[in-house]
Amino acid sequence: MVKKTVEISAREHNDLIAAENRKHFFDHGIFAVNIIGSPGCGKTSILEYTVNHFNETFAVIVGDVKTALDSDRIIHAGHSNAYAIETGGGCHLTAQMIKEKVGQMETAAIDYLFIENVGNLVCPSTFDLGEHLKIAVLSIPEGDEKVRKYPALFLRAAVVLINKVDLLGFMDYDIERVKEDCRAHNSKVKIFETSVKTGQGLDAFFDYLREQRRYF
Amino acid sequence: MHEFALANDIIETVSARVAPDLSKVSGINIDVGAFSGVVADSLDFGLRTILADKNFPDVKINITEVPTVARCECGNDYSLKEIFESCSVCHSFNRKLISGMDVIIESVELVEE
Repeated sequence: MVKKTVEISAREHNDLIAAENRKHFFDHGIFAVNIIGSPGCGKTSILEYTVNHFNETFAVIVGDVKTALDSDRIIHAGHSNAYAIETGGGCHLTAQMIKEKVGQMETAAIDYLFIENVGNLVCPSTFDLGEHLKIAVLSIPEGDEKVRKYPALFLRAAVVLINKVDLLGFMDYDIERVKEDCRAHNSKVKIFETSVKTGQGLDAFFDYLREQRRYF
Repeated sequence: MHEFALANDIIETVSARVAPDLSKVSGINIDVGAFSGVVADSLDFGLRTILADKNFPDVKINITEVPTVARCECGNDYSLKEIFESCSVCHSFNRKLISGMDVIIESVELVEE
């Protein structure tokens, strides 16, 4: 028996394709974000709001186990540049799925790509898609212990949106503790309190995206 | 169950980078970081299932769980098992995690010709 030391990342197969995606995005001037959160936390609602309030050119890819319901919502909100990926059972998007979908899209004229991952706080966390920014979305009705329960995501997310803050007065939710928990996982995390009902925090979030795109 | 997808990627990588002929592989040694987000038992199950399906049921899988090491803003490196373990010297959470976030194919054992 010969032991061959290799020290290769187990994620290399996905990461090499993610690197290709990142190069494609860079070559086309596209700033890509990977949005991860529970089912129902408001990921698609934030993107619907984005359609009407983010005055930039962008495309949207939405991943779900089944159906194109969410990309249809984006299209019905008035944005035709939206695409669905049906994983058919898979619990997360992979770099290969993004590569195939981007290959079918017209990307020459866009500056941003929003990728909404499958609603799940676990599996999508560790699969690089080639994005420039990993964004976690929390929401008030989910309860304030989600950061502690799902560390893999909050160790890796550069941005956290605490969404549906218009419901804060109606629920027991210790938002300061949630922010502290986020910072314990990632001391450099950028946190926005957001609501698509009132628009709170979303202009600041859009400005942050513009600023990040300038330096990517 | 993202461990199954990762197991598939590991077999693809071993085949592409180390041993195109998987019949030459007798063992795969893998390090799973404490904060990798991967459950070692599930990864082990995924690897065994895929290898059996490819008719290589005798490949030995050896998974070692490795701790996470943080480098604090004060310069102290410390090992941690839980996120809420702060720096053992200054108790700060301002740190960079320098290992234990990844899953690494440490080595591959090959049968001699």
